[in-house]
Amino acid sequence: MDHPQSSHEAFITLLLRHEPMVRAAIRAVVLRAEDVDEVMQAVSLVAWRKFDSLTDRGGFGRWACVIARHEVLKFKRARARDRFVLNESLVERIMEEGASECALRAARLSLLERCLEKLPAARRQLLLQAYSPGCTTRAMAELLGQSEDSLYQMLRRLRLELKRCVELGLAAEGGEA
Amino acid sequence: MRTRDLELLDAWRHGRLTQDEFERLQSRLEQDAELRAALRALAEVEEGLSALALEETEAEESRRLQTVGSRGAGGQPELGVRNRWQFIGSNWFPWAVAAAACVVAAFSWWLPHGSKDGLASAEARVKVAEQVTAMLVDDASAVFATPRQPGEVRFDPGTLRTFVRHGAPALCERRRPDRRGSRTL
Repeated sequence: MDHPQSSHEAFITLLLRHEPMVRAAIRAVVLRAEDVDEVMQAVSLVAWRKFDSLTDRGGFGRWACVIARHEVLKFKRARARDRFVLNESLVERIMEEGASECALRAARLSLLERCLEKLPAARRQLLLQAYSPGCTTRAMAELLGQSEDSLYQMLRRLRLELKRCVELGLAAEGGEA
Repeated sequence: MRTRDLELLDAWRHGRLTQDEFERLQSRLEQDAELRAALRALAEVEEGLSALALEETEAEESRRLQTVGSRGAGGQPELGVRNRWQFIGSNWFPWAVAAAACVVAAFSWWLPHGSKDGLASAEARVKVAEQVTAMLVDDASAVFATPRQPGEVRFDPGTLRTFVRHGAPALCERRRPDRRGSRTL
């Protein structure tokens, strides 16, 4: 077993490295960024408590995704009465399939930044503004003097454009989209 | 993957489906692995955007704090000689107002307080400092929080407060709650 200090450092290093991928996996089924924060916090705590039982640290990302699957299910159960919530078996399936995509997810997130840079500055700024903490489409639409619907359409177009760009980038790098 | 399917996924993620549409989408997701993969890919785009937006917000906050810090310590923004004069020349009005206010502040320091107690004189100085703020913000239109150019006076309305430090009126920024917690500026 590691010295407590080095175990602590190893955990922090691994968690920081894998957090974006784990968060992205959670976000597939947890829609609000604030809820993702809550689930991610629970994942971090459980991972820390069980860290000593992880023998293969190279598999931290996948292991954390498995923990995330359990925590997402707990979170969903607590909100079972909400509308438009995917059923439990589907959530489990989406998360389970996602656990094997950790490496791919890291590549996609890195490509996303490049794709975002390719957008015209005004569009890039619009997207980042829409995803800044606490921003809502309604408030932003009011600020821009647009209807909420037309702003949503524009943001949706940009999101899909980015997704396409990331997939093309992956294909060009020899990965699979 | 059809664009229409991606649009449906996106619409669900943003609360824009009817109950029927949602049921249909859920049933398709149960059967279609490609659609589930597309959902994960779309979620990654959104999570990545959230992370980048947060980075940008924090970087902007950090730049703002550096500017406030350097000014608070009496430092000058990094400007070349020519830019510095251009800066002063193009912004003469707020500076004129500030200079006038300083004169008023200096008079207010000496004239009415010779025989008064410290509290009363401190209150008077706070009033003068408030006037300075009001003049800068109202008369000189010093509401230049964005865009952040080096030659601008940077006051947000409502972000300044006046107080007395070592017996002299001073301005500082109010505490502003951070959206992710409660950080002090």
